[in-house]
Amino acid sequence: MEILALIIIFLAAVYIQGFLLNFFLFHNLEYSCSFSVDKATEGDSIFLEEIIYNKKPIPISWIKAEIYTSKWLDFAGKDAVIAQESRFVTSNFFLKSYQKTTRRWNVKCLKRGYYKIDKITLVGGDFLGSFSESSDVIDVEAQLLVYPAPVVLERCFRPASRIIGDTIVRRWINDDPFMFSGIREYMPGDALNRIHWKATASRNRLMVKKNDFTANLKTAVVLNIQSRDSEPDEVIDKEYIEFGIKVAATVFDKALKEGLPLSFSTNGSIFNEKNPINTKEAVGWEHVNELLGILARLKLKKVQDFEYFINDIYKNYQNTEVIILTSYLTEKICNTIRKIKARKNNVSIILLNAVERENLPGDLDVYIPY
Amino acid sequence: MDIKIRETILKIISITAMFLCVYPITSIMRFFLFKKTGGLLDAFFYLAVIYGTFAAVNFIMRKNNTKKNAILAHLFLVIPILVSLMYYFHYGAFHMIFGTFTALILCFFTVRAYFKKYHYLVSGVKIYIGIVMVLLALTFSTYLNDVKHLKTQFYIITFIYTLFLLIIKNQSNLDGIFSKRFDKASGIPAKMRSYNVRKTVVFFLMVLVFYCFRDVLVMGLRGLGNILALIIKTLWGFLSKIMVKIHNLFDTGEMHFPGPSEEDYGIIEGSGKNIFVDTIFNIALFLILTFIIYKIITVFIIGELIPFLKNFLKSIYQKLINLFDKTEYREEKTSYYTDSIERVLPSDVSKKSKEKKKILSINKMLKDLEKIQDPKEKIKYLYGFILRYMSFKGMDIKKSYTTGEIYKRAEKIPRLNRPFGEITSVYESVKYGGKMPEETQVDEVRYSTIESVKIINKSN
Repeated sequence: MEILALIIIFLAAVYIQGFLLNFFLFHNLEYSCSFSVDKATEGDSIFLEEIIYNKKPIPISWIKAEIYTSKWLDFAGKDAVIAQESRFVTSNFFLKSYQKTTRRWNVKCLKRGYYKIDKITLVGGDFLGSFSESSDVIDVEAQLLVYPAPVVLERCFRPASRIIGDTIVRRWINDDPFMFSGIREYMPGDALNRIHWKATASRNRLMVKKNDFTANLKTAVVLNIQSRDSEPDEVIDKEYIEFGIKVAATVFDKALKEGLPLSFSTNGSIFNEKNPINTKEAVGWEHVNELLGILARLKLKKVQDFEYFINDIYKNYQNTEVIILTSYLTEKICNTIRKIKARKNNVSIILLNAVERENLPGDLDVYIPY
Repeated sequence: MDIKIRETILKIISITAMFLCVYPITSIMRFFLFKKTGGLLDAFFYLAVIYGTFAAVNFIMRKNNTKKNAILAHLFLVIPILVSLMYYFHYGAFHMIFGTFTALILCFFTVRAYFKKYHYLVSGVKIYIGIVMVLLALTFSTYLNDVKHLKTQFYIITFIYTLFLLIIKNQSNLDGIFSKRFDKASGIPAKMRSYNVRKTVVFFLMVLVFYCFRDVLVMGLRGLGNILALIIKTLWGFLSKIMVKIHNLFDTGEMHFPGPSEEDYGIIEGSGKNIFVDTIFNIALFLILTFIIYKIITVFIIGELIPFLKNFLKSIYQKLINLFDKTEYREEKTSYYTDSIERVLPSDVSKKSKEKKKILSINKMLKDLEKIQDPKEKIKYLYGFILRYMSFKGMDIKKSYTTGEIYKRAEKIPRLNRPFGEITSVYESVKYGGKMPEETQVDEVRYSTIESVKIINKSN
C-alpha cells in the first residue's frame, strides 16, 4: 500500500502541476509589445518594449514570445534568426506570481520603411514537459515609421559640367538665387519665416519679405523609381533607388528650412496604393512630414513607366525648381525635361547612377555622383 | 553559470541517479545469492568508483576530443575492474565476480554518459527501467522479512532518485524547448534555469511532505471532522433546548382537555386568561426572539466574522506569495535588452498605497541635485523627482508603468508634453542606452523639470 501510495502521489502531483500550469497559463496573463516611438529616422536607436504581467498566484516556468519583424530592424544580434527579409526573435521569460517584466530591446533602424508587428505567438508549458505546450496568438499594435536619412548633397554630387574634383559645391540648387528685394502683403500659403515683423508692426498688417522672381521658386521633386530603362515591375538595382529616396529626403529638409513650397511625384507607389504619387505643393513642417512618410512607405516597384509618367506630369510645373532624381536618362526622358524647361522652370537632374559623361545631354543641368 | 560546468553538474546528477536505481536491486540480488549485503560501505565504494571514472574520463578528454582519447577513456574501465576485484577479493569468487560486474556496468555507462547528453542515462526507456528497478527493490524490502532492514535505506534512495529525475527532466525539458531549429540561438534569461531547479525542488518537497504526512493528514482530517461533529452536536443540543423552551411557551395545556369547555371561548376557568391573547403574545415573543437572534448573528457574521476571515485569509495569502521572493524591483541587463522586473500585487493588498506621500519641494530638489556628481545620476534623480511630484499631485503613476505609459498619461495635461517629453527622452537614453549626458542636457532637463512642476501646479 505504501508503495502504491507513493506511486499515486507522485503521478498525481506530476499530473496536477502539468494541468495547472498549462490550463491556467494564459489566464490573467497580460502581454503587450510596442515601439518606444512612432517615427524614427534611419540610423536611429530606439526600443522595442515588451511587457508581460502574470496577474495570478500560479507562477510560469517558461514562456516565449515569438516575434516576427523586418530584418531592417536590428535587434537581438546573433540571437535572431534572419531569413530573407524577416527577422525572427524569441523572447523568453519566466514569471513568478504577480510578476511584471518589462523588456526593452535595443533596436537600430537600419533602413527606411513602415514596420508593423501585429501578432505575437506566446508559447508556454509546465516545468516537467509532461503536457504538450500551450500557445496563444496575441494581437499587438506595434507600428514604426522610419524616415530615410538625409545625405550631404555637396559631398555626394557634383555638376556634370565641371572638371572632376576641382571644387566643392558650396551652394546648390535653390540656395543660389535668394536675393531680398523688398516687402509685400502676406498671402495665404506664405511661409511664416518670411514674415517681416518690423514692417508688420509699422503697417499694422502682415507683411512678408519679397524676393527676386527666382527666389520664390516652388520646388518639385520627381523621383524615378526605376533603376533601369527596361526592367520588370520590381526594382533591380535597389541601392540606387534607396539612395534616390535619401536624396529626396534631403531636398525636402532643405526646402523646409528655406520655407519653400514643395511637391513630390514618383512613378512608384506606397503600400496599399496602386497609383503613382503626385502630391500638391505646400509649405511647412506637417507637409514635409507627410512627404517623408510617403518616402518611408515607398515600395520599390514601378506602377508606370517613367517615360510616360514624366510626360503625363510635365504640364503641372511652371515657375518651379524641378529636381529630377533618376538612375538613367533616355532620349525620350530628356525631351520631356526640355519641355519642362521651356515652361519657365529650372530643371536639375540628379543622376543616382554614375554614367559616362559623353552620354549626358549638354543642354541640361545634370549632377552626377562622385 | 558556464555551460560546461552546468553540463558537468547535470551529468554527475544523472550518473548518481543511475547508481541510485541500480544499487538497491543489486543489494537485494546479492542478499539472495550470497546471503549478505554490503550495506552503505558498498554504496560508497560504487559511488567512489563511478565518480573516479567520470573524473578520469574528463581528465583524458580535457584537451582533445580525438578518437584516440575516446578509446583511451573506454580502456580506463580496466582500472575500476581491477579496483573492484581487489575490493571484493575477500568476499569469495562469485561475490567478487558479481561485485565487479556491477561496477563494470556502472562505470561503462558513466563513460558513455561523458560522450552523450546529460540526460542520456535518464531519458526514454531508461527512466522506466530505473523506476521498475527501484520499485522492485522497494517491494522486496517491504514484503520480505529477510531484507526488511533495507526498507528505510531504499526509501531514502527512492526519494533522492526521484528528485534527481525531476531536475534532469526539468532541465532537459528547457533545453528541448529552447534548442529547436529557430530558437537555437535565442537567449534564455540568466536565472531561468536556477529558478526552474528551485521550483522543482519545492515541488518535490511538497510531494514529500504530502507523502510523509499522509497519515497525519488523515488523522488531522478525522480530528477536524470530529470537531465539526461536536460543534454541530452542541448546536443541535442548544437548539433543542431552545425549542423545548419555545414549546413550553406555546404549551397551553389544551391537548390535555380534549372535551369542549369554556376554554373554547378563550377563557380558562379560574385563571382569567385568554388563550388567544396568550397565543398571539407567544407568537409575537417568538418572532421577536428569532429576530433578535437573527440580528445578532447577522451583525456578528457580517460585521465581525467575515471581515476577520477576509483579513486573515488575505494576510495568509500575502505571506504565501512573499514566502520565496520579497524583491520588489530589480533590473537585469544583457547586451541586447534590459529587463525591469517587479512584483505588482493587486492594488488593494499593496502596502505601497498605505505609505504617506512626502511633500516635495523644488528648492530641496535643486540642493540635492547639486550634491550629485554623476550626470547620469542627476538625470535619473530629476526623472524620479518629477514622477514623485506627479504622483503627489494625484496623477496615476505606478511603479509598474513604463516611461512610454507615463508619457501618455502626462500628455493629458496641457503643455506638459514638451518639457516632460524632453526629460523622458534624455532619461531613456541614459537609463537604457547607457549614454553619458552632456552638461547642457542636464541643464535642459533641470529647466524642463522646473517647468513641468509649474505646469502641473497650474493644471491643479
